[in-house]
Amino acid sequence: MSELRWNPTLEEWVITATHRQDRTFFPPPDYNPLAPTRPGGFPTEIPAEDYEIVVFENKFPSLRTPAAVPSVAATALEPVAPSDGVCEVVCYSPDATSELALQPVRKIEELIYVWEDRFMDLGSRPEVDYVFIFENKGREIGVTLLHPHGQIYAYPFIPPIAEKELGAAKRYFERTGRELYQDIVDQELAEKNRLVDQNEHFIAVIPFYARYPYEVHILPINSRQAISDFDSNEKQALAAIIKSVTARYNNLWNKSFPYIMAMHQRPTNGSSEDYGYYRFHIEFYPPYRTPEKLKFLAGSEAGAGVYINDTHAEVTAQTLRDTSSEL
Amino acid sequence: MRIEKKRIIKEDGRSLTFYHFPDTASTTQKAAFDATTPAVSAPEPATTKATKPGREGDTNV
Repeated sequence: MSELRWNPTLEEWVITATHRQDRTFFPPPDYNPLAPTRPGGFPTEIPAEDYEIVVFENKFPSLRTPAAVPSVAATALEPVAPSDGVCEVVCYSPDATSELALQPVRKIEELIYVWEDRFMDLGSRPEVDYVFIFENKGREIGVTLLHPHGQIYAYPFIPPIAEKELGAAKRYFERTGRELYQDIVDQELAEKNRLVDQNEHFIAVIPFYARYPYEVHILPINSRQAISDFDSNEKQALAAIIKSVTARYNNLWNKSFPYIMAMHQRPTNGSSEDYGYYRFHIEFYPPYRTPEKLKFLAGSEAGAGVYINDTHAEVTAQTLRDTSSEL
Repeated sequence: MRIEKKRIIKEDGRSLTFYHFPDTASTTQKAAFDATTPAVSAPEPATTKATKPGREGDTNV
């Protein structure tokens, strides 16, 4: 059962999805639901003997259309709404042992075209206001299926973090007449000490305000609000810098590096022109602060929303910059 | 970049889309894509949007 419950204290929706309690949890390798369906083998989610990139609706979705009637009655204090929207799984390799860092740049480029197609398709639906493309990687993040895959949540509202970013960017523009993200890009290109990599169209930086020791943001150098705004050269450059960042992560301590990869872009309730003050970007949140130690979201972070970073961005950026991007 | 796609409807009604890249696909990947029979699209059901309640003059930003 899934529904939206309104939190009046934070003015945000919470999704309850009780059916997800029993979702697939670390199946044995020969029962991998994201592998191709081999002849004589167990039928997986993908009814084909091989595939390149497959996208399908999640079997245990937090959002679906049409949504079920909420299980509780709404009140004026605590409204309830159906959990309309879409949750999709993006399988970008048939190889269960692969990951984004191991994909050739060309394959990542193909994945970008798929992300664009899903953004356009899901964003065109009347019930969808925001298309969130992301990847959870690693047991430490809470992944329950280890086959490489990303996800897409098409929300019927603009989620809180996006709303906060949009508000900050809009107020900055109204106050200064300049785009916030352009000023950030210009500063990082000028100071250089937080750059991890750059190419003709993108920079990868550990931001001045990083909350995780190795948090990397990928930003387009020019103003682009959504993945659908990039031309073919920019998509190619985006693939190259995603490869660079994920490969550096794996090379840092010679192990597969867990992270959350979150794509932030304009809502789909308007056009890129409507959100010209904002900018597409990708954020990586890796939980490890040393090879053995995790950064936990404890009291200050989870309870007060104030992150504590035990490192300086300038130092960890230097470390990542000095790490090979070859895998 | 050349890209093709086929959408099918799984037995439980969920949508699945195969993406195919003719310029880089292996022989088995091309064969698997060619063997896939796409579904005929059904119209999407009408839904209502979850708007934020309880804030005066609320806008998304």
